[in-house]
Amino acid sequence: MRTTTKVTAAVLMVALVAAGCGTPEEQRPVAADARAVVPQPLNVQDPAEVPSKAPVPTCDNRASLRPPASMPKAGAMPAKSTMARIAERGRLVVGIDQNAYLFGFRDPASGELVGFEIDFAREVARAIFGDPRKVQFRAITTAERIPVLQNKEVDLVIRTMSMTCERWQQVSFSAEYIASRQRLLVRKADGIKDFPDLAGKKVCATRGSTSIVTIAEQPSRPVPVSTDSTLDCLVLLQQGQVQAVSTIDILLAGLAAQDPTTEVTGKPVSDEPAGIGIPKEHADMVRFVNGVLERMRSDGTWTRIYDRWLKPRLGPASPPVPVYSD
Amino acid sequence: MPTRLAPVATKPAETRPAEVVPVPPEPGGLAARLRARLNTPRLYWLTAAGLVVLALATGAAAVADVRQREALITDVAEVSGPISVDAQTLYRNLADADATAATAFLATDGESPELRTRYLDDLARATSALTIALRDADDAEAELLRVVADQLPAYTGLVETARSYQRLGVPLGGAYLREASGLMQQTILPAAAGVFDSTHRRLVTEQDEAAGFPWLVTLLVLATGAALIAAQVLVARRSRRTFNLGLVAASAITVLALLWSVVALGASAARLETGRRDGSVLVSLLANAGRAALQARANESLTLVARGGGATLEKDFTARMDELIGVDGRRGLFARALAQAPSSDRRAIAAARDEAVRWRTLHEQVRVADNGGDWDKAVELATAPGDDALPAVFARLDSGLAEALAVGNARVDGQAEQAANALRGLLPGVVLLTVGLVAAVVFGFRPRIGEYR
Repeated sequence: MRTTTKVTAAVLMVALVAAGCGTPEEQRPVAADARAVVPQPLNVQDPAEVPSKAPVPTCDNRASLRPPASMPKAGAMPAKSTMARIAERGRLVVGIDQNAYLFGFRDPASGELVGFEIDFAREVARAIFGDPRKVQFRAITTAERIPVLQNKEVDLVIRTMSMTCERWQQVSFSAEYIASRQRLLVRKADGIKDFPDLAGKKVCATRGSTSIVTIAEQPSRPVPVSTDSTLDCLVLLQQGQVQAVSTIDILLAGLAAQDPTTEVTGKPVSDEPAGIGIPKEHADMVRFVNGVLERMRSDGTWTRIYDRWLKPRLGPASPPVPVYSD
Repeated sequence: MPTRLAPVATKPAETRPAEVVPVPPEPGGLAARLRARLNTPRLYWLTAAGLVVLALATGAAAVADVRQREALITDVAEVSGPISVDAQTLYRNLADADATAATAFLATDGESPELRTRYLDDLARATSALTIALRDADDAEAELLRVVADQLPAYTGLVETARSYQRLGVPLGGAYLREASGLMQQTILPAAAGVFDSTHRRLVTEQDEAAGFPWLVTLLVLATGAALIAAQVLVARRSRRTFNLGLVAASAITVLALLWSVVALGASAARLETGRRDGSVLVSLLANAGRAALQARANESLTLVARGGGATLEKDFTARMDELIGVDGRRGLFARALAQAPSSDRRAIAAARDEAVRWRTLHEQVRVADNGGDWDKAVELATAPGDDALPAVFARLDSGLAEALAVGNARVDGQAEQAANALRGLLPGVVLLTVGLVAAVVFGFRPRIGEYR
């Protein structure tokens, strides 16, 4: 009798202890486990989808149309010309970038649009109207550059638009107004000098751009990351989420100007002349704009505008030599 | 599992019926034997005992039922109702902070101190709502609240970075603001909305449960009533007395209990149902409308901040607007709220809806200006002072919704209080009636059983 009681008690004890251990204690979250999640700009692709390289038509991508022998005087555009229609409308409509520091941006003091490309638009307006203020700027995205020209919603697009043979089939370009090459923007402290230092590292550019293709093609095999705009790339660089930004150097200069701890570096990995985009049907306008550019080169206007906006960042430069196909 | 259950289930079926069932239906021999054994006093005794057990069971079930209802109603008034209000405060203020930050960014001539204060107040209210809500949150809600708590400092950091760059006049500020808003709209607000949905579900479930029909208690009361009638028939037949005073009293008590509980529970359920229909369900619709409106407002401002790169933001604005008032201005959350709302609330909600329709027209003017390249005019339209300008129209929409929400929330609370009042006294009443019922049965049978001694 006694032994049975003892055995029963022992069994009960064991059972109770086992039950105590087995009961899942309510999981209390451990604060020490919390980790910061670095936020990302919207629509970041990491790694980026690399656009397939379409068979590139061959052409001389710098070759534009020769300016007319004599330029019409401001306010006296030849009848029935594209310029005459613009003059009749009373304003030149130009597609620009509002977010490209040094190229097209709002002066915080005045709220006015200013920058290297804005000044070019004003020079064209001066040539048509004799008044540089008769411009209506329209902020457009990278992707909108060709459609707005094809739909003739704007007269010109001055928005760091590279002259490529592919684009030549859809729109026309003026002669080259500024040379640009794809390079790198890095943090000074990182000690990155060029693409070979970026093996397996993340490099940012805008989605669907040729820059993404060029990054993916580098022998050191960096990982391309894409965003909606180059500004988002600078955000990612500042937050340490990418190690470099790679696009044309003139845009990189605009980014570097916003953050003194970054610098433009590396050998150029592409040659991308920037031209003013003009609807394909407006050959007379192409010649006219090239005439304006000729004048700006010869009378020092080009150098004055360049020195005002870009010289402090990119060093001294002389205007590109125009190439004409005829 | 089924293999273990099967034998247990079959066992009692073999043994019980012969012993317990008092009147087996068919075999005359068995019935006759039973009747012989059950002489009158023993039958009375058994009947009395059965009635007492039934009365006690009914009383206990009723007490348990009423106590559970009272607990649920207290919970509605003190826990699930308030936490759902906290969750609304949290996500409303988060959404408002986001919209305000974006709107403040548009000012070309320096940041407005009013908007800055509003942004900071929003954050203060959101964080205190967060800490208060945490006290009553369940596990899943606490997990979502942690997402908000983890990410909110990162959000505010991005907004401050954006402000600094904006002051310097470099475009990078806009990029930081877009990143901040993306974090808010894609991570923080969905978590806050999840908390609201969950607390709202809890609230409605509790209102439903507290207003549910008391099946078990009703069944037991009816069974008690039936048993009392059967007992009186039995006593009348065997004693040749038509009425047994105790049993008549017991029947009266049962009827009284039934009437009282029907009236009290019915009134309480009606209050809770009003609180659910005109309160919490309406509040959920209005709260979602408020969130959609604020997110649309943030997207409207961000499209302008993006300066030509805001096509996706504009698409999002359109989606929120359609969610709010439908494509034709007569559908969406507002239309559902109007259908749900009691007539006293409709005027305020309809007024807010009209402001939303007006806002969409004004928004289209902003878009026409901006798409046409006239960014300055677009910003001017979007930030213009004056009663008919966009900011004022939006402010009226927002405050109209906030007012309607406050009315709805107060109704949840008020109706819960009235539901609790309807049950007042029922619990001691049930106990007393049960005691009375048992006493009446005992007094009814004791003399009859005594007659046979």
